[in-house]
Amino acid sequence: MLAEVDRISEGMKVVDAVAYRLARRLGPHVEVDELRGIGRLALLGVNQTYDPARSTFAAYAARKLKWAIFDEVRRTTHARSAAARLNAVMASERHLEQVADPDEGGDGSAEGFQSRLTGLLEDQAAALALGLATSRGDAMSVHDDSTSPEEVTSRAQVAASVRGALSDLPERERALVERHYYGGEAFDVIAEDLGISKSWASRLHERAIATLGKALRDHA
Amino acid sequence: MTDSSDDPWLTAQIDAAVAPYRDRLSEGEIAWMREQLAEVLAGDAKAAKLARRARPISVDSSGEVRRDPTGKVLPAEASGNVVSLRRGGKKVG
Repeated sequence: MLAEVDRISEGMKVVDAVAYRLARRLGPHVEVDELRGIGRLALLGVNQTYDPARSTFAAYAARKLKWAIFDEVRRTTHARSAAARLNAVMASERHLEQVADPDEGGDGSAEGFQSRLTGLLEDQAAALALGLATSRGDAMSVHDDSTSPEEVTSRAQVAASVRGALSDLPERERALVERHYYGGEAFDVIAEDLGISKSWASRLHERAIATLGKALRDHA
Repeated sequence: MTDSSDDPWLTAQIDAAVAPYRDRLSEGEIAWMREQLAEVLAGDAKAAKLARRARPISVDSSGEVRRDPTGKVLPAEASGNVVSLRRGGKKVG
């Protein structure tokens, strides 16, 4: 019981950290207090599903709370511009989860770190572009004043580029991207349907982002 | 939102990453993308560590000062310019 109380106390700090970080990423259309509220509600469920044998509570809670907050914000975001940017931030965060610790692997040289940083930023830019270009159909139907005609045109161009690049992806990677980003299906549902673990689906997602990014850069 | 504009090296890294999208996205979305990348490098622990490791070693003034026995700061000519090697804000030589 004491451990559970300690975990909730620790979890409240994690809620605050996650909420503040996501508020910085999502910008002025979300309130940090709103995100904290979502996180606090989700914390009870996170505590119940935590397995101490698998990871620290803070690491587990940070990941679960982040996606719980994203899911709720996504459910309630209907304006086109905000939905596209939310989609992009979610793609970026999903990709970040697969990034290895810089001190693991690599040769430790300055050139090696520079190369990895360049790769990370290129992939992150590709993830953001993918998210912007593939906002859900229901959100796209609601226009808002914050989307300029120029943005609508440019997004359509990126969307066409992404569509073209998608066709070159291996079948499972393409299915994952299409169903998640275009179809709005939950990541873990797609993974289960494809008969792969969630962690393997995340690796496929990382590879798909890298391939898409390269294709988009090659055709810039 | 994190601002990287006062860090030329970081700005150059981010500019290079968004360059392929400059002709495809609006100025507003490119600016937003740049802010997002800066936020990733500032707010994600692994990305921030990678940026620190990748930052090139530069020779600059350490900012150290010498003081006389009373604690008064001596002028630069008297203290000499202390030069140190830094990587990612940490003195390495």
